[in-house]
Amino acid sequence: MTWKIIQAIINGILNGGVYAVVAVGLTIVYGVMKMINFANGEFLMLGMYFTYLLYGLTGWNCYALIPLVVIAMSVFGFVVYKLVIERIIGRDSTTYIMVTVGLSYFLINLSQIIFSATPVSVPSDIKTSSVTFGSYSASLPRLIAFLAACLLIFITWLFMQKTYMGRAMRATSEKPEVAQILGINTKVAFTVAFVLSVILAGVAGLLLTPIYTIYPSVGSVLKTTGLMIVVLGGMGSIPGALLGGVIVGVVEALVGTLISANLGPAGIFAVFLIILYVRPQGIFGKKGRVA
Amino acid sequence: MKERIRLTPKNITIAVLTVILLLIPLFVKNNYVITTLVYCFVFASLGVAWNMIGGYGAQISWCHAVFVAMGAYSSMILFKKFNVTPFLSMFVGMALAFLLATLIGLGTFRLRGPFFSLSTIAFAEIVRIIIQYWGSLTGGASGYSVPFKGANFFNLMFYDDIPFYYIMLALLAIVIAFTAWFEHSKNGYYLGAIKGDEDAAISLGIDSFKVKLHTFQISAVIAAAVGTFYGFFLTFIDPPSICSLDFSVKIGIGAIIGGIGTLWGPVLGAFVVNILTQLLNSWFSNIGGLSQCIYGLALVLVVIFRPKGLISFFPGANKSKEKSAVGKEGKQ
Repeated sequence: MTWKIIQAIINGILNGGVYAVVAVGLTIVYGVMKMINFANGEFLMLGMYFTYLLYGLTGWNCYALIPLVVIAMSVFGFVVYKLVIERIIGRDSTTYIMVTVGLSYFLINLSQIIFSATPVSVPSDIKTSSVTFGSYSASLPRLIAFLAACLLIFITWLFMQKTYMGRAMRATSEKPEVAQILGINTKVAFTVAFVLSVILAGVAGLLLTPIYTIYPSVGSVLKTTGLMIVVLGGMGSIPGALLGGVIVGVVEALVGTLISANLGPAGIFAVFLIILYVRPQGIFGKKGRVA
Repeated sequence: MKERIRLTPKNITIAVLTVILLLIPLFVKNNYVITTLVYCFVFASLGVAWNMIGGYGAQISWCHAVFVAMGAYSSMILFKKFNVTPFLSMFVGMALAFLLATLIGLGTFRLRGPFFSLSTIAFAEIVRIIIQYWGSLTGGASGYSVPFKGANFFNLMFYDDIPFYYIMLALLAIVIAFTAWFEHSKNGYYLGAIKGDEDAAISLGIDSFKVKLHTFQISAVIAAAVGTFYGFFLTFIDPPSICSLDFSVKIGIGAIIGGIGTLWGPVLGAFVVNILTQLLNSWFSNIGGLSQCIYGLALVLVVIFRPKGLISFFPGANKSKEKSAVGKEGKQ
């Protein structure tokens, strides 16, 4: 029993890392633009398909494809920003919700038309390998995904803390009007925040290719999870997203092991509801919101 | 509030369309057309109900499929196991929907921002998982069907779809009439005030939390009632068809494309979306996902370029008031 629980916690933490990458993208966009991106899971799905296509072209190991996927995703994110998001900046939050849901619907079904609904996968040598320590084991792709996720989150955090652009984005998230008066180009900050979140979602997708098969609606589940992590950790907080991701991963794994694998996501929602009732600003949320 | 019914172009159009819809089954013997129109009525009713909280309240819900599923599952289970007529058992589904709406509303309407929408998506996903998991009651992933126990109005069982055509049309009329009343009720006006400026509304003594919660509960209960009839119309339901995010989104998309926050917009939208879906599916039956792809795109385009929806192309059709949820600059 103890073995089962500890093993579940290990699996949960490893999964949580990738969830956290998705959530970090969401949380930055929310912080800077006050927009919840309901299409984020579909960007992740596209990241997986880009990996699949690029693997087909080059035959490289999926981790070697990271730079290419980053380039592809940033171009794609920029195009989506220019075509869609830029036109609705400054409208109310329901507009953001409707447009991003429409976008997610469009992307899911467009990929179904292009790639068909049949799942595909990227071949990888390490798919079934695992690392053991003592009597516990961790699957190698999940371990790599977790470490890469932590590294990505750390780089993103450094970018937000240390660079001029990062500071400009944080200033914009505090108060866009004031940031603008101080000479920050908030439009650029919005663009960078959005493209960054698309890149993060795409790389998260790449990290998942050795673990999951790829199909058009693969992002839906991860999207829901990502959105809940953002609320759990506190909207706009990067450390919150990391912690939220790990909590969600662990809860899902524990419920999955102890009750039923099919009920894992239900456990996440229970935690989410409790947080919403008890501490709606999230674990790392700054100030309480006005009711 | 006694308003005399005037012969405005809008009222004449509505009267003519109603007469046409009433007569269609007498002349059109094609079951496919009738069935498509039944779907239109169902989605129009659901769209109008969705629009109460989504349009008048500007709280976008993506979990109305859950309420429909509550209505459909509870009535079908009670009918199959205990022979309860759906006209009675619909109240069970409505009560369940009321409880679930309260559960979501209590947690999220105290907060501003996107919490409500976020929670509805998560919530819908979880209910679907539970329905799928609880196979002994709901049939799980393999679905649930009611046995045919002979044509009988009280069992909602008929040999063809024409009785359903009239039942759903009547249901739609009731939902529209109720919403028209709601629009001008105290709650409706409060809701409009909250949408316009929540702080100002609160300072005038409106309990915005309660108003939103009540509206959501009403909207959910109507969706569950429609769900009961929809379930018996389908006779077979499974979680992907009746409790999925797809279904919720389709309800919302119809209302938004038609014209969010207007009485007739969601009706128009439901007809456009459903008829378009049927046509695309029959013309391009080999391309899976094409119709959904197009209405996802339509949603994006309408919200960006025509935030008041297709209904705004009809002059005078949305005179009722400027109640569109979108297009207001600068409000977060």
